[in-house]
Amino acid sequence: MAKKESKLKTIAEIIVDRQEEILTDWMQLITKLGGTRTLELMSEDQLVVQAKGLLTTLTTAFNAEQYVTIDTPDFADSVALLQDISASRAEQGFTASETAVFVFSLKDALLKYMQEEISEDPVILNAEIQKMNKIIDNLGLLTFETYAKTREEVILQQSRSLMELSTPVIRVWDQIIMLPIVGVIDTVRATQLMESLLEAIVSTESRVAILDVTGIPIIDTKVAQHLIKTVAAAKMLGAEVIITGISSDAAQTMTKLEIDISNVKTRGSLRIGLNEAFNMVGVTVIKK
Amino acid sequence: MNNQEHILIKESSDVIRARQMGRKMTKDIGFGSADQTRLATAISELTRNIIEYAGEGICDLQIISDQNNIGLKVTVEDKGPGITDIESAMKDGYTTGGGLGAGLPGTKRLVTSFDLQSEPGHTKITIELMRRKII
Amino acid sequence: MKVPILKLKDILLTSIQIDLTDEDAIEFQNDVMQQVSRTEAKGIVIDITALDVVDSYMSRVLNDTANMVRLLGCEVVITGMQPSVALTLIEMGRELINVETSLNLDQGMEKLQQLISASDSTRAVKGGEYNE
Repeated sequence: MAKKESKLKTIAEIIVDRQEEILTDWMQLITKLGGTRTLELMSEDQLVVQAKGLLTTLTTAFNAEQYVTIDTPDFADSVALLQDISASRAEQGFTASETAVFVFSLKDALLKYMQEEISEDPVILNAEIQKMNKIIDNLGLLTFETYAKTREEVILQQSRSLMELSTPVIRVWDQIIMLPIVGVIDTVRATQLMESLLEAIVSTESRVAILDVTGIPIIDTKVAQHLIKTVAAAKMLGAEVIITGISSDAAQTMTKLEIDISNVKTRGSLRIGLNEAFNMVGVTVIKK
Repeated sequence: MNNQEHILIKESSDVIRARQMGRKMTKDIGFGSADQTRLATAISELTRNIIEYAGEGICDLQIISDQNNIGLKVTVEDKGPGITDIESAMKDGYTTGGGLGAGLPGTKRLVTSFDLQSEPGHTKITIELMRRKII
Repeated sequence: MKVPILKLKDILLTSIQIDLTDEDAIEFQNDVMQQVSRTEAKGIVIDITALDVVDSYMSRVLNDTANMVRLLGCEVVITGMQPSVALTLIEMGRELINVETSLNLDQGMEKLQQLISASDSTRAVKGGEYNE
């Protein structure tokens, strides 16, 4: 009996001895599984690296005496690695199932080689299979949980960015407001900006709105179009718009791109823009 | 609040009824005033086309919601002569009689989804304005 | 006349308070033209504060009305466009073109006076026909 047992490998040993074959089978299972986009979202090399990493940590894991829970030191490495993999997949846009497929498909791969190696003793085979199932199930659950947590954080972060983006409107003077625009402008944000500006014009009864674009890094055709639309909308409410802060680089780019903003009032600096605004509302600034 | 409203479009005043209903429904599901106006305007464009080109038709408004999004789906249907050249009608600047052509491309820009089916005797336009649910 | 038109000296004032059907809109346009020519008004303020929907048709009517009125030598200012309406018109590509606008009645009257003065002085300078 003792002789027979010593000839039988443990899962850990199987993983080490038959690693290449297990890896190959596992990769096939992941990529062939219908409805997953694993290879669309990451390269095969990256996938292999993640898989190898997991197998290595599992060697320690499968040597564990107890395997009902995975919060013992034996599983620490596996857990850490899976949390990393899960989180990065969540950020990359994988679905929860696609991430879990990574872990669960390992079962089938391992099963095959376990059956080959431990065929002689069905009792032990059964015990090892139980163990393997339990451990991988727990790890699979972990990937789900980590995935969910990460997705929540991503969404929270996006909402926070959105809120930070709500632009502050500054009341410079009676009937003059200023909107400093900072950062990248996409269509969603542009619409938001327009809405904020228009609401502000109405609530402050302003006749002049200064849009300062010093903080916009790149003014390409799309951004210029957004600006032109914003100006047009403000004009329909009866307000004049002055755009200030176009850098000389941006001016060159816009000219090269043949962006026509000749209908839009622009001034180089905020100071000059303000001066103009004061003129428009009939205010003179006198130095004491 | 009803999740679905069905309005017969026969007279000009029905155009106003339909768009006011659209505004009410979007307001009820929490849409901001800009979105309310977008949808009401889109409904106005589409139902007005019915009166002008088909004489009469129907406007169906339905609130739809899933796990992440909520919004209004509006289906406008008539048995009129139809839009014979859909591709041109959807191009900016295309006009037949100043009415139909002017409305469609602009309307499409106001909504999140736009579907147009038209043949002589039957036109059906389905638009949706969906927004992410705020948790 | 669904939309009343008031006269204040040589200025006309009209405020659209209800939703207008297509027919109502055309009637409004006709009424405005009639009043402008009948009273020989120098300016008219069209207030649309109460309009929460301006579709492509109404936008066209407003634009046309403004242009037609100017041809009669009358200045025009459209006041009170709601921000959502302005936004929607821009998104649709149906914004008012070459029409003076103001936020509210106060600013509208002011602007109208400015326009009238400006065109008065042009007429004086040109030495052209000046209707007393």
